[in-house]
Amino acid sequence: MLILAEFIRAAIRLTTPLLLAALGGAYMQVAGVPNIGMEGMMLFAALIGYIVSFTTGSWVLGLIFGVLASVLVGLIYAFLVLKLNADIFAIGITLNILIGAVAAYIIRQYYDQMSMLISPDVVLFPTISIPFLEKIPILNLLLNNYSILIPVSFLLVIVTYIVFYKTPYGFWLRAVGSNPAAVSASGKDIHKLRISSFVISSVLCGLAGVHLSLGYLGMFALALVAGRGFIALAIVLFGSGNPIIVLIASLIFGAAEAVSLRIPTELIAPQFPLMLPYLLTIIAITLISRFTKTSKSGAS
Amino acid sequence: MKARNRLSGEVIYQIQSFGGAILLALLVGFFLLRLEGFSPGEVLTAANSSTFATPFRFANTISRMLTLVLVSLAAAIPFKTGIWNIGGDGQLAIGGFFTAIAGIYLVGLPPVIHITLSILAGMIGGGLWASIPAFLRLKFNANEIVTTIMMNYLAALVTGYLVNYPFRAPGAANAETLNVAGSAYLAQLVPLSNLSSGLYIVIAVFLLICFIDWKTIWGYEWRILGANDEFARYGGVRDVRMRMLSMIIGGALAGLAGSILVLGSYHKFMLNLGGGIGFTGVLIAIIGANSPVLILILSSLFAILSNGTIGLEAKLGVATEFSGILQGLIIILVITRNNIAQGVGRLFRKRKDVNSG
Amino acid sequence: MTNAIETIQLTKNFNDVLACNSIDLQVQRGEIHALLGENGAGKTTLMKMLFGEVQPTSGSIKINGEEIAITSPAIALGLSIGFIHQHFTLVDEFTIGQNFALGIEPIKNRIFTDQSLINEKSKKVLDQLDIELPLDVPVGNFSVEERQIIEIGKALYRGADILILDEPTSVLTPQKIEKLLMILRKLKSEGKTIIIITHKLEEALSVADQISVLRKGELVGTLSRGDTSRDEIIKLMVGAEVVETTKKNQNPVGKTFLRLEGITVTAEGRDLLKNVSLEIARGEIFSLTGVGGNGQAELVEVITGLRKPTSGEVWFDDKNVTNWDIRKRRLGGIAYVPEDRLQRGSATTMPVLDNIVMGHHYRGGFRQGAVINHNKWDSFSRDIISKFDVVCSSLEIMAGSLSGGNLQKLVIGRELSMNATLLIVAYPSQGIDIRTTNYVQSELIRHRDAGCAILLVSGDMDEIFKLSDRIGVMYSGELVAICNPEEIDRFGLGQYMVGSRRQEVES
Repeated sequence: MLILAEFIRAAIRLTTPLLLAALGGAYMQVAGVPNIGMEGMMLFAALIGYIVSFTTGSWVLGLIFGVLASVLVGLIYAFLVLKLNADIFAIGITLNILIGAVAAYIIRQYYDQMSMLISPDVVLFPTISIPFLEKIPILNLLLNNYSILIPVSFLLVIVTYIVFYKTPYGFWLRAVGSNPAAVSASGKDIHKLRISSFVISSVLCGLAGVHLSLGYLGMFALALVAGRGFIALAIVLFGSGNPIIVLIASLIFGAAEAVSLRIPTELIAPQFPLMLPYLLTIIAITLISRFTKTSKSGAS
Repeated sequence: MKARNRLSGEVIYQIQSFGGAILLALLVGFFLLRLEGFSPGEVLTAANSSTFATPFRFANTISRMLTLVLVSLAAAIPFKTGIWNIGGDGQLAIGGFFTAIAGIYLVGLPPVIHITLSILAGMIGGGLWASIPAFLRLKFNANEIVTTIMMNYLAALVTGYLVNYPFRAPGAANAETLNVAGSAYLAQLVPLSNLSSGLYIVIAVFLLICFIDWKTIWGYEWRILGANDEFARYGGVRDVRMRMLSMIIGGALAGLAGSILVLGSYHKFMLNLGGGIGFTGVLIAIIGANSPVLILILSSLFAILSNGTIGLEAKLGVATEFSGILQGLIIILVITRNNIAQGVGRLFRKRKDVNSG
Repeated sequence: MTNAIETIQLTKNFNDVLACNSIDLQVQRGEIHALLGENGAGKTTLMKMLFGEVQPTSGSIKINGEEIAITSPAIALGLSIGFIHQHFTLVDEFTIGQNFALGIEPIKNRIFTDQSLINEKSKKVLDQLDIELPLDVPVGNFSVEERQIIEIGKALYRGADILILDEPTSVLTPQKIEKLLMILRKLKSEGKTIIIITHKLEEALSVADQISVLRKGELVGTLSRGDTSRDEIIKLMVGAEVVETTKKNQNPVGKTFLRLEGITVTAEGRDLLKNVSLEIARGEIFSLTGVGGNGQAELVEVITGLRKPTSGEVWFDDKNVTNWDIRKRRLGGIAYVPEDRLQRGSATTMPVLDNIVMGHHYRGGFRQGAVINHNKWDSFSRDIISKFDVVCSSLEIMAGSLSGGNLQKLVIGRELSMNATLLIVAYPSQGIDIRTTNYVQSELIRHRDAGCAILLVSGDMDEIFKLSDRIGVMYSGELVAICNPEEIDRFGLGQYMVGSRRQEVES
């Protein structure tokens, strides 16, 4: 029983970065503008957040500036796509690559590191300790001592659900993605709604990013995001941005990753379990396209 | 070819705005370095020292340019038909690995045959790796941006396994295969550099691609598919076939890049063979997909930028990754060059939001 | 009593095309007013001006006696005018209430949408429409006719007193049309003013108090239902002039080339084409006519291979081509000038040369294996350009930079030069100047005389009578008549086109 709880705990921890990013992606997805740049947003947030943390000694500042870094990327993305009418896919891919270069440059130029950045002065996210839970081992494993953004991420699922399905703004946003004609007929500004989706999305991706460096790994590496931005994209496409589906899919991926880390290397080479998330993504994205109408996000 | 030789006003405009955007990006680069305290003159000298100054450097610059040309074409050809191929890195890796195996184990053959077979193996490997996301896209409409990127990670893991376990060179400190047989070596053109007689192969392939692009029905149909696929289908173009073909050729080209790196530069397969150059290829393809010549020019430019920053680091202490930033900047400015003009125009017009979607 | 709507010399000029010419329309309060006319008569443009989607070139509009400039849909909505478009503005994932209230949601507790308030008000609207629909089901799940009623409900929810419906019955099956008309009658009894744009005479007669007929942008008459006859209305719609038919082809008609057997196309529960069978022989011009949207487009798509029929077969001579792809059919002898020359008929971002050789490029002479024969491409293109008088400075410029008329000529020239056995030409005179129209028409006759089979899709009566050897009329997805132009007149065709009459088919 305890082993199962341990496993669930690991899965939950591994789910969070993907969940946060996918939630972010959901806001843009329902508005009809697929967020291709999540990988870059997360990377930049992770880097800036980490640097600010060890420079200032404050994880709060790290969080804030990490998120701001991601928002900066989001605003540039929004400007290029919405104002200058550039292709959302091309710019997204370019931004991801560009940010990779920027990050590599920063750690090399200012910190003399090739691929990772580790600092003893970094202040990581605190974990949330609930004293009375320590008395019950199973609940302790399942619910206690998580890094701060982990419970936040699950809370955000609820928040997003409420926003999407219970508030006027959520309806306007979803309408923009479903039938912009309906929105303009209703008098709301399509443009402003889309911009707001970019902003919210980049905030959430920023949280995902800073969690990766300050909450999950405790260090920064250029390979930190490892494709999660695109897996998040696949999750969001798969569920059309529905936060419940995002939660379930993220948990499945988190569990898959937890499984892959637990398989003893004597049994099977480590590379194989690691393939699981990527294979799952390919399968998932093939399946949705089979069952939905021509995906709005198809590249051509 | 009479019709093609005239440069219409449009082409001139394209050249001007394109060049302008690149120049602007480079100027920004100089400006940023200026902020760090380096004069343009210093920058140019430092850059030159690692790109052109010695035969060794020059050879490496050309070698990089060749790889870039191949991986850019790998992304550009499918892109012409409207399909994204971000999988160049993975296709390069698989291709390189197939080549290494052929190179190591097909012994006892005369060099020309051995090399040819090894290279073919590499192109088949790359083509196969690309055909999977292509199939999923054409049959199931699965988003190929996601699938090709996933295939990159899978390729890294698959080759990672192969090179760490079954095919690992015994006694090797790093994860790598045995050396390929001597009969599979592509001669080094400049001692100790990365430049091999693969140069001739790339030249030949490049000319072939130019030929296909401008002189064959395939090139024509690809272009039309990318421009207006409803029109292409209406006219009788077999869109599914042509798109699959373009992806396979793209994958084969990336595989070829891997082959040449294995047979010519390193003589074995090792992890991270391409070092992420596939993504640079995608960037170039985004703005250069319509013209192999343009891709050649951009690849040269990007190769110079990449190698140039080596000198910048050695002499001025600027990290080599600066080239990546410049490259990204160039792409963004080029993509938006027309849009900037249009956007400025739109800012002064009232927006009619009916059906803007 | 003041009129609900009055237009005074309302005119709309689109780049030299007079869509509406000095229209004086009067719609009384509380009546159902039908706007009848063929395609291009100006009905939709006129109504769009009432809704603020199009601005008049001159003339004015009075709503309830007051002259107002309706410069945007928001203003029209403020005047209690609601427009039910042919393409619904509904969000499929939302429920009825959520669609009704989009943008004007009531809020409770500062943040949340007050769903129950919305549902209350929505129920009232649905009651008004005499229909019961579940309020918690996404609108996308409802049938087309239910969605249409919901679209009407949306206008009512927002307080519309004047409702304009654009071809509402075009998406409905015959059984559902009566239900819609009943709803309209009910709304009228509650004091709403309703304008319905349609080309279907029976429906107009069944529900409208007044019928205004538009023809070629002009209001040719307004009749009260009680005091007119079908014949009179049809005469107004199609015009009564006798048209000279050109001397017919003296040569006997050749072998049948195209044969359609029982072509049916069903999509979204509706039959777009119902069991259409016809034959076209070499050496004849067969005109397919009817008001747009009655299946002509789908039929052409089935013949060319752009669309697969739900059932039925297509034959070229003695070959069953139903499963042939487009290239094979083209090589099998067909050419097609599409109605949409811009989107389907050309690639505007590509050079003129590339546009001209499309469809020719895989034929012998144009290539050797996979290699392009550039000389042939070049000489052929120049040939087409001069023959069809396409004004362009070089073959390299983008097709999109050609003027509209020239691009059309390019497309027509390309297809007419395919040595096709069956030439399909859709709306050839649309958007072309007189001189070129005459040239194209004489080319069609020349091809016919040389033994070509021609399928001409057109709504232009003059053109049809001038060129046709036989005329087929489409109505509601069915081929309701095949006529000899010497034995029928405009009026007769009009009867078929509006659904007033059908031919008895002998097998």
